[in-house]
Amino acid sequence: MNSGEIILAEAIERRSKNPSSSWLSTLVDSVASQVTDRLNPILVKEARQALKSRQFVVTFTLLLIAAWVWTLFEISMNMPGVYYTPLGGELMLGYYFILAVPMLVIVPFTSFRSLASEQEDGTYELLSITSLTSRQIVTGKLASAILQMVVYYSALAPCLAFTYLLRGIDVATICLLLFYTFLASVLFSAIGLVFAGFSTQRTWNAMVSVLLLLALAFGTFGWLVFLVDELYDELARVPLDAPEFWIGNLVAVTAYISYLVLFVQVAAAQNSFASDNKSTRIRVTLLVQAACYVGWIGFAFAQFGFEPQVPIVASFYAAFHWMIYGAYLCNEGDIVSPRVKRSLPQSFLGRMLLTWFNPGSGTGYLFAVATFGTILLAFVVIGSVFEVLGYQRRWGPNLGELVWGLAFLLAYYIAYLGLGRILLRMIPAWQRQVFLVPILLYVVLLILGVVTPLGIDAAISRNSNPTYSALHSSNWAWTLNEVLDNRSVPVAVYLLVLGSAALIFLINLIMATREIEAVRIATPQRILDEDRSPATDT
Amino acid sequence: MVVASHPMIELRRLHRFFGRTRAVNDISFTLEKGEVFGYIGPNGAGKTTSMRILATLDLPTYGDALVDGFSVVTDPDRVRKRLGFMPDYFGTYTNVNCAEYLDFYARAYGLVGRERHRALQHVMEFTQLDALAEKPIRGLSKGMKQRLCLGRSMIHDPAVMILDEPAAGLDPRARIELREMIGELASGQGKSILISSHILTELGEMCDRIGIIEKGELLAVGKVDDIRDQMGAKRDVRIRVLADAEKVVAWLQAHDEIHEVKQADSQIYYSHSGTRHEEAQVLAQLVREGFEVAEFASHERTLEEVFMHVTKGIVQ
Repeated sequence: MNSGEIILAEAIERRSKNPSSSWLSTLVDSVASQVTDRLNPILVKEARQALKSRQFVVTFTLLLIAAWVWTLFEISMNMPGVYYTPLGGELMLGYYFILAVPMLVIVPFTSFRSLASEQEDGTYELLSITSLTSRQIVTGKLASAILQMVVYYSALAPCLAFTYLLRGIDVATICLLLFYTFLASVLFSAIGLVFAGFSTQRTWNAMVSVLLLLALAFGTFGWLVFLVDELYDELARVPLDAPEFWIGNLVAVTAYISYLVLFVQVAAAQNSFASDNKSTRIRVTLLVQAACYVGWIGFAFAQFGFEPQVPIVASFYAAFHWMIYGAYLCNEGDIVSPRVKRSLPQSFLGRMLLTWFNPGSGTGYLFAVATFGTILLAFVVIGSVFEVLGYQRRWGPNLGELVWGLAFLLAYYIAYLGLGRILLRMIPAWQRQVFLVPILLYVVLLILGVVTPLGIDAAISRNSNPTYSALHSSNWAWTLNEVLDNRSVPVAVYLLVLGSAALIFLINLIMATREIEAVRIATPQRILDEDRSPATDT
Repeated sequence: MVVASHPMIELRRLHRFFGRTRAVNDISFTLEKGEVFGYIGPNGAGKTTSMRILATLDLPTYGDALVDGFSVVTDPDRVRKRLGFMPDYFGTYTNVNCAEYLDFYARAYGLVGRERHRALQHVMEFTQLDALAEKPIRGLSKGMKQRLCLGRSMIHDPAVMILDEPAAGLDPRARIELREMIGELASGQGKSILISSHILTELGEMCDRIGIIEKGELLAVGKVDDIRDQMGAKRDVRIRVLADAEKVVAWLQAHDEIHEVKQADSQIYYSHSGTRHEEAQVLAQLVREGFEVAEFASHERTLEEVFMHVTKGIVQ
């Protein structure tokens, strides 16, 4: 039967059960039922819940009231100029700020609470034992957030149309502004869902709530400043005719998609069952993202000329990004589950190239180090090419300084990430389940690396203005600054930093042996039987 | 229809430790299709822990548990398709009525279109919630919520159901209704049911087999009668004689199948491990020996008595 016949059959069945209902309402019910069958069940449930919830009603009402108050205030303040002065841009700015609060703070926080409260109340357990995968649950929550965004947009739609009528802002600017905000809200909601998976315990969740609210507040503030600064000057017109605008958008969209996919996968992995492969998809996404990142930076060089400062900034951003994901990967368990072992690569080439995508903290560490190292190497190669091609640099370090600077950055990355992994193994697995624990451990480690030598130096020399020496080898910030500024760094520092990195890498490599040695196991006969005849009734 | 060659539930040397606490310590048993298995034990015995492992909500420290031949450790997704779990908490949502709640779970289990409508209709009728379809969940009584949760766990017509304390806090009528529902699910619909409860008399009536668990260990498993046999005493007997009570006690103590002989004035109590026929022969012999037996009464040990005899009330 096709969809039309199914709808008709269902309508007939419904009508036979309830003859008093009209044909039209029965048909509408049947169509609605067919449509919702194709939707994510979480979306259907959340929509039912959200539309009845007090929080939604209050937010929606406040949004409408704020929009009306702003409209009346702005019009009355500009009378009678409103008849001949373009006022749309100014009015739009106000609406935009009003919309930003529910879009960038309330909706993402609601997404976080929606998943966190399911875990606190035990309903997530009941949800997890249904046929829904953790990815479906997460995307359902995200879809529910998008539905709320659409409702908020529709509430302000008349006001937005009004701004266009008042002139001073074009349709493209209005649309882009709303579109960007929509994208930001979706990304913030995905981050909220990642935060919800940090812990299933109420006490930790309270702490995570505060952290997320702070992050959202800063994120919203930063977003508003960025958007108004970038898009809203020049008489509220976006530079649609400038190629840089579209190139920038292309880069932003690819970056956006990669992060959104990554966040959804991390949120899904955090909520999946223990024996599931929680890592391979994330690692593939990270690899694609790393390739894109190198591409963006390379393109920036080609477009705007060789600026050695650019790869340094890009490398530091990459170090920050890979430190967080490195911590995530190093926090994985050491044992490859039998379920994962069923699908491990078997051939020599497959094992050589794909083992680093297998779940496990050891392979995770090696994967993070290899990818981050490749990114830095790519920057060096790009820099060398530009040097060979004779591009004139205007400022920043020369290629030699850049190479040594990035080598030190990689060495610190290998050393701190590896040391953190060794320390993480000493914390019981159930305590490491709260992702804040590894993050805090790495933050403390990086701070101690800076503060400890400073403290020792101050205690020994009683000098409030210490000078750089081999004692400060663990101080990554100072050492990198010294290397990149081409100051003379003691040979002992080279030996200590690079030697420690090599030693820690070796220790971690040995610790990862068991994961690397894991081989494929046979799939149980019961699984094969069911896969051969999925409809078999037992 | 293919008949399963494996048990519907199988626990293989299941262990679950929380630090030094051995919540589940080497438990093994199986459950066949259409069988109702009662899981009995004091609070903190490890019932809920082992049930949560079977429901794929927790992982064993050692050992494995299989549902319809699939491991809960490696293939929880396959286990979940054939399992209905009713935990000892409600797990309901706010701002949702009964019909919406069940409809959501039907969708979550992948039921669509008319299949979903039929499943909803069947569950509503079975749990007698059809009259309460539009009622908000927050307005339901405890008994109604229990029925709703039972409905949720059976919405996808699972082959195996795990019910953790389903009768806790219910009034007698609701308990009887629940018992009838569970009986219908097992005998009428052929589901394998693992059920835990503190109301032992009810479990004794509805379960094909029981397992008594204490301090994480399975102390006894089998039919209630078999466990009574394993304990060595099946029935408690009371005799009232008109004279020579001490002689009767001495006579009874000389028999191997008679244990725990006690006397209180003319009343004599003992437990008997033989068959009913052998019990009748004891009475006949007493009369033949010339003892004046005025009353002779015996009753089978109830599940509660068996439970009290097997367990020691130890909590970890």
